[in-house]
Amino acid sequence: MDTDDTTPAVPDDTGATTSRGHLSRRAFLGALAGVGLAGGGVLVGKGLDQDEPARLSFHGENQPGVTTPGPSDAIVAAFDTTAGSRHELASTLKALSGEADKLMSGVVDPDKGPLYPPPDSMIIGPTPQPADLTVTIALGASLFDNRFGLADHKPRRLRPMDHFPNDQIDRARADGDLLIQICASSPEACNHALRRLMRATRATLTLRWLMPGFQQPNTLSGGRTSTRNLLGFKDGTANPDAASRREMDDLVWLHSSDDPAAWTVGGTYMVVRLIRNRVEFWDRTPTLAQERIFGRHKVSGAPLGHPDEATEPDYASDPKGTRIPLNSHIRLANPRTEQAKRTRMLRRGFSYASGFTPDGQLDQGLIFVCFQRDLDEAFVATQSRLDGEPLEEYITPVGGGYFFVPPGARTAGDWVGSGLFT
Amino acid sequence: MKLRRLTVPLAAVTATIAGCGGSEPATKEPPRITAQITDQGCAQDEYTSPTNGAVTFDVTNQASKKGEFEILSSQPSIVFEGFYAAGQSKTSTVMLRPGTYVVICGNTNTPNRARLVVGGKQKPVDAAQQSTALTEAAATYTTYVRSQARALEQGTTRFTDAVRAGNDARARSLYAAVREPWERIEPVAEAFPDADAAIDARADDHATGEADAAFIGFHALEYGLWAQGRMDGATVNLTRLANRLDRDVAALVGQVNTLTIAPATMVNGAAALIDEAAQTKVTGEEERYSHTDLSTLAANIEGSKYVLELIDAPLTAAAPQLRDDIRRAFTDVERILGKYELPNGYRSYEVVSAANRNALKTSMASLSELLAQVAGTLNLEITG
Repeated sequence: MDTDDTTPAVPDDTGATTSRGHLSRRAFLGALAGVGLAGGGVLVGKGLDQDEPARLSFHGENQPGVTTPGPSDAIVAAFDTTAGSRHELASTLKALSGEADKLMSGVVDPDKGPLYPPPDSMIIGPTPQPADLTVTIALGASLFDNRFGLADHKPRRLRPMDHFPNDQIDRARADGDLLIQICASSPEACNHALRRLMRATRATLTLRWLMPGFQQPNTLSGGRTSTRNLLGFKDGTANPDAASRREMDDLVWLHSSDDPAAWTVGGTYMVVRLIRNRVEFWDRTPTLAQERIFGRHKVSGAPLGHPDEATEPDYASDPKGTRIPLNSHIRLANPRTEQAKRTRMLRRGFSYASGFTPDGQLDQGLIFVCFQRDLDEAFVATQSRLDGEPLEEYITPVGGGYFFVPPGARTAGDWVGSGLFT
Repeated sequence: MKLRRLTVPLAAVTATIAGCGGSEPATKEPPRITAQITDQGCAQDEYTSPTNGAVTFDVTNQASKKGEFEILSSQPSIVFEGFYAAGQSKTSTVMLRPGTYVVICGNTNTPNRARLVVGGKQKPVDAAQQSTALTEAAATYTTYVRSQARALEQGTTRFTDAVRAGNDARARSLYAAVREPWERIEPVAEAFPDADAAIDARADDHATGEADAAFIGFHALEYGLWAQGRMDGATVNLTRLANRLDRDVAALVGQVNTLTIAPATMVNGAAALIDEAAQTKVTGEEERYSHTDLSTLAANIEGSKYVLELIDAPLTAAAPQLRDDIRRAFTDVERILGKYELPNGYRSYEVVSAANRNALKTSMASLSELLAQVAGTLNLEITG
């Protein structure tokens, strides 16, 4: 990979994209060939022969949308349920899985005729085209209160989102009985899925908060990323390898030894944080200061004083933080100690841009999403290390929640959450 | 005003239509069943009706506390649900298909349940009968709309008299109930855009809100009676607004009296009432100064449910499951409203808990989805 910070980074996040940000993988390859790429910018995703978005399977041991490569668009929507009984809650979850499966398979209900409402909005055409769509269903701590007799089934780490010192959480945009994460290769495909999922569960689910997100999909792997957050820095470097079953088993998916509630095996804890970025303030901060706050070069993404994005920062030779400040974001988030290895998690966030606030400042930021086997050892430990980091001057967590992603619906008759009712 | 759960005057209408829609001929009064709720449950083990279609229940709650009288089909789905204070008696007419039902007296935990056996045979229905039934229902509905318009006019005069007399307290006490006839027939009244704008526009329908000279009608009076002087905003002239409202309501009554409502318009209106309520009323923004939103909501529900009662027989013949689902959805909404019911109205929308606001949202949204299926089911063309 390019080591010169001042050279425009050709292969990583320029060109080779459509106006919608869906990466044309062939065009991208051409760009790589043109600059004679050295080393390993390996494409991730569906392989070189598949330029077009695909249909992904809803069924499996684990839910989709966790280790699936993140596409360009997403919606996270938290709901509260008004189900009046266990039976109604089970029916709701069953209906969600049924509709999610239909959506991911491109199925539309039969049309009953012109005197009835249409069975589908058709916002992505009469026959929904493949769009890398995934629907992920997650449960909040409040679902395990006294309403449905599920207290014994609560995953042991699940609870309302903790309050961290820099948080300014708007409770109307926090927590929720249930969260649906929809990811796809266009905003229309996300909204198409959202509308059908809501229509199928109108009687028992009502929106609590919602945020649409977007990103340039990552085209690199091997400790590199092409994706940048709205602070202009690469985001996702040093993420665990989602394509590695072994690594995901180790860091993301729950094992039978993790929780006395057996139904949780194959599930994962999901943290969502709506983190507002003070982008105007950030844009007038000198580059050097920005880089010392993150601990990385802005252009290349390499750790400060290191040649390459994928280089492990050498903290042992920099005990006082002369190269990479001790309180920089990457050093606090991952101090590269034996202990910190256990705190790794799979990050899979999106950016958001949601108009502006009454002070005239843009409301933009990050929908931080991460998945992990142990909420406390991973996210909470990492976030606690970040307390007081200089970046806090520029970011404010304003919403989000802790959720549990149940194991996948294994077969056609199975549904997400069925393990709660056996 | 109380929600009307299948009231007596309606029974005659329903029975007539039942005759056209394929149930037993209903030239005579529907069979009557007398039932008592006791602390142990139902006073009898079995109730029987020789015929299907309309069946009238005279229910008395002899138990020591509030109780329900509930009829469940074998689905099981709730076919009828009524709520009774201790000592209260009510008469209700229910449309029943032949078969055996379960009756709950008290609540679901009360031990003594009863069987209800409904006899007779469901007759097959043909398209011509369906069409006749719908035409008759629409004719009945036209009469209903005219009577509601008259009730609106009479109530409005009482209200505006109080305003002109400077009796603000009396005017405030009348406001919610006086608006109810309007809210029962709102989609039909909205067919006259000028009348709707003059009678029911909200401040935010106008460029400059409360201060806008064009802000007139009920909500301008509501603002004047509740919020003037307590909110930033304009001063409104209550007497002038009252005089104008009288004229606009009288004009509406004249227009409504020339109106003949088609079946499709009626069915569309029933759905529109709930759609609008679900979109803009569960937020509490309709009656933002007086917080009488629950009365408005109850009137919307009542107006919509009346249409469903009128078309019950054709709908039952065409899609019995949809009909039962709609009935249950109405009961769900009524159950939530019932928690805030007072002897002569409803409590302020401000006291409705977050959980019940959510329950209102989902139950209204669910009802909207179901009502959206009715026109197609009855082969009625709604052109928008």
